Amino acid sequence: MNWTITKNLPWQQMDGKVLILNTGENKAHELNEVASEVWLLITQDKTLEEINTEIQKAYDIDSDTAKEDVDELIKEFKELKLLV
Amino acid sequence: MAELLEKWRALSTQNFTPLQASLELTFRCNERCQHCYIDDFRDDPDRVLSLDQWREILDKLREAGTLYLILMGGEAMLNKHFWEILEYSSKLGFYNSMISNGLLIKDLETAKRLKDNGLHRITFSLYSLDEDIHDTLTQVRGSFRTTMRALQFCREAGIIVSVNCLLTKLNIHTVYKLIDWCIEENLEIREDPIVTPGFNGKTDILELRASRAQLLEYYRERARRWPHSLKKDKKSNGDDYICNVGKGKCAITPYGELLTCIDVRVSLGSLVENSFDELWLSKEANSWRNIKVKDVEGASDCSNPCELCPAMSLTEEGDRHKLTKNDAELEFIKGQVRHEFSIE
Repeated sequence: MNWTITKNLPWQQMDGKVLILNTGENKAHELNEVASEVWLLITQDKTLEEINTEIQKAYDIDSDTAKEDVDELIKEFKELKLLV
Repeated sequence: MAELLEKWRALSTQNFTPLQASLELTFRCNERCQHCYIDDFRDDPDRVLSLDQWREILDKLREAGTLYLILMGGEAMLNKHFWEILEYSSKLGFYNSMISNGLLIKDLETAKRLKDNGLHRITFSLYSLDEDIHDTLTQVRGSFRTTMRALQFCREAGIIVSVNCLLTKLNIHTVYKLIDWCIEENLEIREDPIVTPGFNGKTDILELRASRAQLLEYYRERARRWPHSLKKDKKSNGDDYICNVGKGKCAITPYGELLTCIDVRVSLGSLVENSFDELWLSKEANSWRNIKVKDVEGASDCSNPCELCPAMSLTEEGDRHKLTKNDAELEFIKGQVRHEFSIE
């Protein structure tokens, strides 16, 4: 696993969506359904492989599409400084 | 950002999700504020929570949907597990804020440690820029200087700092100097004109409430500076809830009892011994959360009926469905000022 959740990053979920407060950047992010799912799996210390499998199952998509989507989301989380 | 946070706040109220929880970590305090609602600044040693019990409570709040934690007391930092609680709550993903007098933040290192352990925001209780007035209210000589130093240390450490000022007859005449200073220093300030009765029902501290003449002057100055802040709310049709009690917020006492609001001192039960939902969905909790404007005698005529406090009604009038005399007095004063300044 080549990421860690940014230290002291507040977040919570409600009605299937995750809200993350990036206090260092003074920004708030509301994640969509898939991104929320991926975020919750990250917080449960799942490996990249496990996340891909979970997303593949949850959305009934092939493994390549799942991998592509998850990679993209993790890249975005890093750009937003939610992961380091 | 503000719009998104407001959306979540509104959703939490609608869903009865306690997005915000106030944690009274202790009743102990190193000040003796004349106006404080805590009657005895001591914890019952037989009921005080262990670190594991506090962790269990934080787990349950997390599960219940809480994001914002307000650590408070007494003086929160006097809880012997304070640092471990802060560290654990940051690990779980809470947004941590604290209301403090700052007397234990004696150096920059302590402020940096707070920041490093995940304290995002700190609100200092500051009653005046006049040292004597502040120290007279806290009944601790030198407290003004220590609080001011702590405030600067926290700013330097990168913690968001704000100020709370309770208005009493002893300090209200100096509040605009404090407000001007906060504006200059880019600090958010919140003034509160209501001295609340003691936990034990004692009302002698209410004598510290500012007089009508003092409040008239305070609101007149508000009207001169920010007339929009005295505008009337849209009139309620009676079906609005009176406040956010038991909906988007909750509170926990130093002994782990769940409350519908920090001001409502009616325990729903022990959060150590029960599940959150068992207490939160109880008949008692429902009886508080379902109070509507139409249920409170005299509330529909108020300019801001949703600012009324049923806890205060219960303590002062013995009935949570009755407007307090103080609410009526404030309403009269604001009405008078609105009339003088032609504010609708």
